[in-house]
Amino acid sequence: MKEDKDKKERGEVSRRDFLVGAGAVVVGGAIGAGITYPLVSGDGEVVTTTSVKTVPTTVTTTKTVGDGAAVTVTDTVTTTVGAGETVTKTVPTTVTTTVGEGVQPWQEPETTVLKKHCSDGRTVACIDVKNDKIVRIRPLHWDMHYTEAELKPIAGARAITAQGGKTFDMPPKSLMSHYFATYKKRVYSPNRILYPLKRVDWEPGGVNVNPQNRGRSKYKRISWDEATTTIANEIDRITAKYTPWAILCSMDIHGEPKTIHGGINGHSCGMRLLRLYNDGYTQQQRNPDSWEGWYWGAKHFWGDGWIGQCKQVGPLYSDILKNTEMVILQGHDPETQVCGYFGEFPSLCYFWFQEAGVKLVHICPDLNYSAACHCGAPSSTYNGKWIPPLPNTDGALNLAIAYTMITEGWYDQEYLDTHAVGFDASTMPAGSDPTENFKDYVLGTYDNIPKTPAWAAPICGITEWTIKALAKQWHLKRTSTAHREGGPMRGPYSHENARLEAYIMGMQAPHNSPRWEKNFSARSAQFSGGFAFAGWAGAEDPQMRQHIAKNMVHVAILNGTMENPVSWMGTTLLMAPVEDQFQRYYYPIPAEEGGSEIHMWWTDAPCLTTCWNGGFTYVEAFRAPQIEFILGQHIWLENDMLYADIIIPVNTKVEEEDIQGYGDEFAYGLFLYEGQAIPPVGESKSDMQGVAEIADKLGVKSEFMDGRLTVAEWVQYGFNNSGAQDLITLDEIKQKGYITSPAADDWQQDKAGLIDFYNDPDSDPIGLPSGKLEYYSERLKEHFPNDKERNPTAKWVVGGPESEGWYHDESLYGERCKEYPILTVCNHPRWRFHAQFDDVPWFREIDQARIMGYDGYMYESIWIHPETAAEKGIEYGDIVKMHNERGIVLGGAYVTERVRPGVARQDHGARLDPINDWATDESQRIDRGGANNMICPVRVSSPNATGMVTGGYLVEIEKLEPNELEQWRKTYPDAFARDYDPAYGPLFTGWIDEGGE
Amino acid sequence: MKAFRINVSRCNGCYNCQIACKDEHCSNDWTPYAKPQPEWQVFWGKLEDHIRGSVGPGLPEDPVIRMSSHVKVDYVFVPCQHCVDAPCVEECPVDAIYTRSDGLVIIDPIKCTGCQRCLIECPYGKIYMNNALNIAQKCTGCAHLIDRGWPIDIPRCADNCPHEAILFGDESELDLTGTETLHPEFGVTTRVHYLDLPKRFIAGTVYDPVTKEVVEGANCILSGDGTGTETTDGFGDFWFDKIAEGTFTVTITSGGKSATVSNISTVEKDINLGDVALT
Repeated sequence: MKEDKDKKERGEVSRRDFLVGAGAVVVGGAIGAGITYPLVSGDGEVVTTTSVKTVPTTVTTTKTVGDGAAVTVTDTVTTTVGAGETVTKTVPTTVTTTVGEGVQPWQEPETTVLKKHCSDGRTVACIDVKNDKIVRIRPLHWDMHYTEAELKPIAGARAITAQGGKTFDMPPKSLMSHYFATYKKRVYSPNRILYPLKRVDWEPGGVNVNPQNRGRSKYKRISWDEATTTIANEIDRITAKYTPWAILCSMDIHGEPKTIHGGINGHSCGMRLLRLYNDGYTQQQRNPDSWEGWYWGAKHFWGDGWIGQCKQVGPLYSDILKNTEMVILQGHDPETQVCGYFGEFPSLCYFWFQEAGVKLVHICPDLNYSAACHCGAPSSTYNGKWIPPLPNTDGALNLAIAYTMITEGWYDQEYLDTHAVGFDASTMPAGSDPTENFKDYVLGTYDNIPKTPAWAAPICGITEWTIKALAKQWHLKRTSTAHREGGPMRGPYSHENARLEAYIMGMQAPHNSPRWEKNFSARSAQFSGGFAFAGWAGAEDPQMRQHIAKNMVHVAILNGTMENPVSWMGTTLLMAPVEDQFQRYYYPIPAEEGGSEIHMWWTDAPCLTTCWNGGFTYVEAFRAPQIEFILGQHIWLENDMLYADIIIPVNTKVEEEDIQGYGDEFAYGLFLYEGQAIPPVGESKSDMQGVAEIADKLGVKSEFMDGRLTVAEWVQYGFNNSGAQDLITLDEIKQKGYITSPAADDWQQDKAGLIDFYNDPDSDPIGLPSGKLEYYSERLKEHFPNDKERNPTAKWVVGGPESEGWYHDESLYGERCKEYPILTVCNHPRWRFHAQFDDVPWFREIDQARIMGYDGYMYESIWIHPETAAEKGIEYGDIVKMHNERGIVLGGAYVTERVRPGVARQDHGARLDPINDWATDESQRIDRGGANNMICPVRVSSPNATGMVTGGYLVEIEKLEPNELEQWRKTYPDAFARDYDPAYGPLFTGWIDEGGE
Repeated sequence: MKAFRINVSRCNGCYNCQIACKDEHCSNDWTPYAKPQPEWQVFWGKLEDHIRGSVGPGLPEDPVIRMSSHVKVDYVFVPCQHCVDAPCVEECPVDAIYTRSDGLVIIDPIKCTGCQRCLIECPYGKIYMNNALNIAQKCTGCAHLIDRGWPIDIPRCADNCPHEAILFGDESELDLTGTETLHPEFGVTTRVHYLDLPKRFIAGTVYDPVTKEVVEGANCILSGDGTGTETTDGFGDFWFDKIAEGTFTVTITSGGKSATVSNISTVEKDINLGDVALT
């Protein structure tokens, strides 16, 4: 065994060996102020720090300071420094050193700034910086600057005693998501847009536009001056030639959470500018993208509430720990979907639920990441069940559950008599057809199809006995259903899936509650950012006079004219009341109302191709000849940016000084001072600063900035209006970075879900005309009497051929399934946050994320069951073509038992790497990057429900043979010649015209 | 002496540990502890997925209908094991690898000549060749952070872990009850102690083919290369977990009916028996 060598020779030093040299670093410093490690006293200066740590032992260190007088520093110490001044300092045990002579780089001090989750989300982390470079990103330990008592955790949201007696308490640090942990790789990504760009064959003026070359021709570097002058001139030109509404703004979700430097998540600064300069623009109206089924379906059952997921109040986790016996997750994955927002805390909650004995049932075609670890042997710490139905068959499953409950009497008839309309004939509304009640539909009284488990079994692929068992357990156990997004809520006819699940909750109401995993925390006295720099227009805002539902943007641009406008139902605004769904909206609106066709498109949220409904059709829209100018504003050259004419480069959060106030960091509300960690990369600016440059050219910079022309003024303004100003000074928050807010005094009065309605329906009626849960919706009947796909009472709808009057033919019961027999699962991704993080090597090297093909390219993994793979002649690691009439998307075969047969499962949001996105025969369009949204349906949820369909649709999968790939290589040499690095994917340099640099 | 305690049953597979190790060591030079780790496909600390079990077999009458699926994933984080009697320390021809007084094993990046002997000697395969720098590299236990004491004084993997699945501290103060060594057959004593490493399971669902219902409360007895008793739950499920690789028989009884499944081999993999009919 090796002898321990002399420490110095080896360079091993313990912290007690440090000697403090004369003079050095004071607390604070670096660009945006922060906490500097190591903490030392300065020469002759009074130093007060308030860093407190719980100290298990006393550290005594001898320091030499100032005039050389030796000083003893212990945990809490009065120290004489320099010329006799007295300092009171409490020193963290581990921080006792300074930079002196001969210090090695590993000992050099670092500065820490705090940032709220980079890319949309909550959770806070520490960014350690040295020499203007990010060293690391790590969790914030709550006790960095505060004692337990000072943190003011929300009483009752800490140390919760669950049923069974176990106590669960908050962890001592922020639970950073795995996305946030990799953020350094995004800040320093080789795909950062470093300077403004202009497409080489586009000119302003509307004449030399070459729209057909968008996504094919490359970019050259231009100056900010040229970019902003061109943009300002184009805005003026297009406004004058057409109207202000000729400019479409695609500026919504999910950018980085910024307060000063952008609107919601950094977006919509352009809208702010055009609102004040032009008095208007056309807004792309974001849809409830991840929650379509709830919005277009469940809202008609239980009224409004956030996007249709019913009334939700926290604290969620304590309610479940105390009261719930079983949680059903139907197409839900808290390990993935929620962690993008709330870090790893939802994951922790599920471990708590397991420990408290809560049964977890995961209903999903794939063993998603929650089913994988919160599922297993009851004899260990696991207590889960995985039920894998075929994609988008949850409606049939739920009907069979309802059948079992009805025929066994496993539901509360009395409750439904008093709290619901249309469950059975006795509560059907006066004047309606009594046969349209739910119960008779389930029993098959009139259609002669009783929705038995035996009926459902071959549809959803689950045995009768398991279906019956699920029904029984749902009845016997106090059950919560857990959802956030995705799954059957984004398939064809998702509104039927959602309502059928909600119907069962109504049947089990006495001990059931739907829970949406947003409201984990008790309501705190929330801080805010103090203002909203920009933001989307609400439904009543005059700016919305001409808007385009996000799911309709491509169809609108390609098909909508003044003579023949396109239309859709509902604004699709997230918070619109359910009645809005009965309104028809048009694009364009008549010229006399100010309407205009679109001729300029400004996007700061460029992911329509890889995240929306029918990406190849969005590409066509980008190339529409009437679009004279596309302005892109983004951080990375990815996805829709490939189709822009001018691109202005944006910062990441770490390059900006900002503030944050938010309320859902588990037991805490937080206000953050987010120091600027590093200088801007390249010539990038924040959204606010970049758009301000355009405002400047338009002569409205001061108005755009509300007269506050510096970031410092905005910090002061926001802080003064945040609520935090009553608890701390600006200087102090700059030092500490964070302060927690206490719970609202009356947080315990917050009622869980629909409890008031349950106790007395008249006291808190459901926000629908009857005031009750509507199994039968009179208004759907009234407004859409001939709609057989979204029925007044939810049904199992399979669709079929268009020739037979169906809107979707995406099931195994129509015509298209003969050619495309595989159903897709296209989840919210685990290794990306939607379209973000695709170029992070530390994710790309994980097999479930990407698989290296024989050609060295990292293909987006497609999970295939061994039986299905064998049928198709596919082996692990093969390159796979996933295709339908809308095109071809490539992937790497990940053959696994983590998905049921008959399914191709590929996460959505992969970065576009088009081989051919222009073929007139759509089936020949090819994306190599794995962006399956390129081939999902363009059509919305159903004719009157303007939701998107991004999963649960039909494809075929085949092995891509080498000779076919080689043929593509010859036919599309440009695509294969672009710069590529397996660690990062397609590279920025691949799109830059070298001659133009 | 410092040691790790890794609790597999508290790991959710977030990969924060593997990422933290990259975050700390890629593009950061911690000489004399370590030079930077390569960005791509080198894993000083690696999370290994163990996908166990299978989707249920299809019913003979309609294979689209699947019997019960029993699948789970165990994630095992494998850093350098900082062995007490490390073969790499023994065999380094230039004495570039040493064990510190706190037990952490370090490859001196200055002394290393890149001979790759240690790569061969490490039975866990946790030493990687950095071809650009021509040195061998591995996990340092973030000794530089421990020695500095700021801003944290534990390895990044432990600090990033949201679930305390990775604990690091004084070996005498860690609760090592029930822990074991990874790959004891390698014959080294390590300082990484694992709880709930995956073994094998036999799982299934019991049903009555006449009533077409699951059977709750059925008594299931495991015999053979291990024994156990389980009672089926409300879904008719039973799991015999943490059993050895071997051959087993499961005997199920309930209300006068029974079923026996024999010759179940867990030598190759975990077994999902699917739906077992009681007759």
